[in-house]
Amino acid sequence: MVVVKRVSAYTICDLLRLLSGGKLAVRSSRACFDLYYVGIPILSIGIGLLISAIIFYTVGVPLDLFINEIGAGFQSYQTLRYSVLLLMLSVGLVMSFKASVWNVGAEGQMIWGMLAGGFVGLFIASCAIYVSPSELSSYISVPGVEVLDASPVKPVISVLRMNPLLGQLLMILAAMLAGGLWALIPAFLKAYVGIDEVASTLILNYVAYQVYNHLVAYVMRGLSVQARQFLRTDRLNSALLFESLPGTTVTLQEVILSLLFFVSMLTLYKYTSIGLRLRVAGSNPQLLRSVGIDERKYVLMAMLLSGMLAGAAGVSILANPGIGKLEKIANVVTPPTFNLGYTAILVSWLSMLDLRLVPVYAYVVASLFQGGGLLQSEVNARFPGLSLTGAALTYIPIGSILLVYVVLRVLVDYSVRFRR
Amino acid sequence: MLDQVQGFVLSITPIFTCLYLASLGNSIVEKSGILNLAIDGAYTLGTAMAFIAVASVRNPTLALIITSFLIGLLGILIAFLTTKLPISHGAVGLSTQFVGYGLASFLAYPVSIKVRNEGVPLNTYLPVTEVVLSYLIISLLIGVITHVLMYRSRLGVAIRAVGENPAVASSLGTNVLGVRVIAAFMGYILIGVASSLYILLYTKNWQEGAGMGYGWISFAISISAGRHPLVGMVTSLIFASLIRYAYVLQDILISYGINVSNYAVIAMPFIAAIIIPLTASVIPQMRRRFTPPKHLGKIFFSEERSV
Repeated sequence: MVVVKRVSAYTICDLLRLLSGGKLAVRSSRACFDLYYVGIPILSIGIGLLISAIIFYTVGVPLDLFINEIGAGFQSYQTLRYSVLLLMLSVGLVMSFKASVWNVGAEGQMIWGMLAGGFVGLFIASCAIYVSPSELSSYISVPGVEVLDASPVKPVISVLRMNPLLGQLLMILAAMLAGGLWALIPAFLKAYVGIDEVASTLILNYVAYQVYNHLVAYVMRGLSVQARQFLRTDRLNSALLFESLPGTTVTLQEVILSLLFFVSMLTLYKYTSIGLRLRVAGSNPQLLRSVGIDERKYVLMAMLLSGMLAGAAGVSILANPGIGKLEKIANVVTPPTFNLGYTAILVSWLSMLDLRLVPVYAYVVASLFQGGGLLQSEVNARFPGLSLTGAALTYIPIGSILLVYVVLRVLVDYSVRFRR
Repeated sequence: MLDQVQGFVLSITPIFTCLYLASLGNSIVEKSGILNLAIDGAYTLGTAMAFIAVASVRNPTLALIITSFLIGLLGILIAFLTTKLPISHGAVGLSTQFVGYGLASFLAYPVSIKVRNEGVPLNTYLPVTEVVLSYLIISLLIGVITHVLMYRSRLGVAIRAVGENPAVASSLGTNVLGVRVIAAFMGYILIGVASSLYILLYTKNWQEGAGMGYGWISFAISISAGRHPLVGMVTSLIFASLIRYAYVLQDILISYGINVSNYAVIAMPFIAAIIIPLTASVIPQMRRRFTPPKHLGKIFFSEERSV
């Protein structure tokens, strides 16, 4: 076999050669930002979307509708919110993927972030109490008091117990702690027992959904009539909710958090020894061991970081003014995390595990995600017979883009030559 | 006494078969060195396909055959991609899993609405003793045959050799790609049978998310049995009784004053799927016997052997 040094070639030519039976050869050197770095993710998004469009076309979704709605996703203001959340999640995932720790349990870690943040917000930073109906009017003007349920029999008010900023900070910290601790379980299993983390993180997602249901239904269930009826918590006190940026659904706090995480992870990764060790733990753990560093600790570190960031993303979903409460999960296909934990895997892989590219692909994937949602509502409104589900519209594009990407990714390190 | 045993066997068989056969399939695939992370996607897709097939052909056995063949083709695709190209097994498995989840929901949801609105009869297997017992015997027989195949036949030696060290196996004249494709086809056919039985024998109807997570439970069963076909019978029995008798266990615990909610009951098999492999790998004797194949999930790229 000949090792060929790549001089110049184009992704698409390589692809055609591969399809027509060419053999792979190792690329001996590559520049940091060459065509492949940018070309392959974009190409795989294109091909993956084409595959999904064809799949949806077979049941009668017109192609122009598909293109229109996906395009509309790029301009929708809701996209901004998803991209901020995906940025937060994917930065954490990239850190763990860099250390070859394949954390696919961001869903469960987000759920724990929601639970811990919700617990602090609902029971520590504020509390809900019953008041007598005759006294209800006297509470309305008190600052920090909010009427949750004005029913004439058993009215419920929410009383703020601390400075709202401190309350929000505590919520975020609790969420990060809970997400990180939940992520440490599979990390311990991987580092000290040798159980594959992909399977255990995914199994723990199912456990987290049921813990959520249990806590929401029995421990954190609200006092108001609606909350008791529909198995949900009370609404968070509006002083504790994050602040929406004018005209959008994205909140100021989650923008600050995601930028903070982005910058700090970039710094941690590029300029500190922890970042270097994480990188080496991924590529050559024997080297770490030979210089006397316990590489298992860096498995824990990688998981802890990504779990903490996922927890923060969870509480950002909960504290959004549009949500503000925890509801029982009726079906595991539609969790309150909108499956963003799985979508973030797509973002981190498309960005080639390069932190600098994460914001770009967070925006692109958020647009596709939002476009999928728009397509679903449009199709269900226009063609009542089709009944597309949300799961189909998120998982099919995610899965097909990922699969195409995984295959095309080979072309970054290998070129295709015909053997003479 | 005999009635009680018979009642126990009849009530546990449906869930036992649909866990045991899938874990058996997973064992074959992983023995050949392919990290089988697509199992849950394949399982979910299989339940959806079995539902569609039984709603259209109205014959459970035919539906089972169609489904397992199609899932077997999925296995061939995975084996081909992971062996022919130098790509991560985990990445292929995970993305196939997402495609499986999506396609399952996409294909079966319209059919489930049609079934409900038009009252299409679902000819699933009847819960009569003969059918249930025959499936129990068939699945145990498949387990024994798999054991003979893996440990007493040339193909089995080839499959295990390819999983332990594909480069050596290849230099001794084994066609790595061919062996892995055969192993994955057989394994995924068993996963397909298991997921069809989930619909046809166990739940008898499909709703969104049906079968999701059961692939992972089978994965855990297979790991905690060290990927051994006969030990898998024991671990499958443990998990099957845990799922089947979870509510009985809940009643017992409540009678002792320990309050267990329904959600904890749903989560129980998943918690066991974490804990049981853990105990299997902590005990040293078991750990030595149950070690995974040496090259499980490692990239084997035949073009790069000489580099």
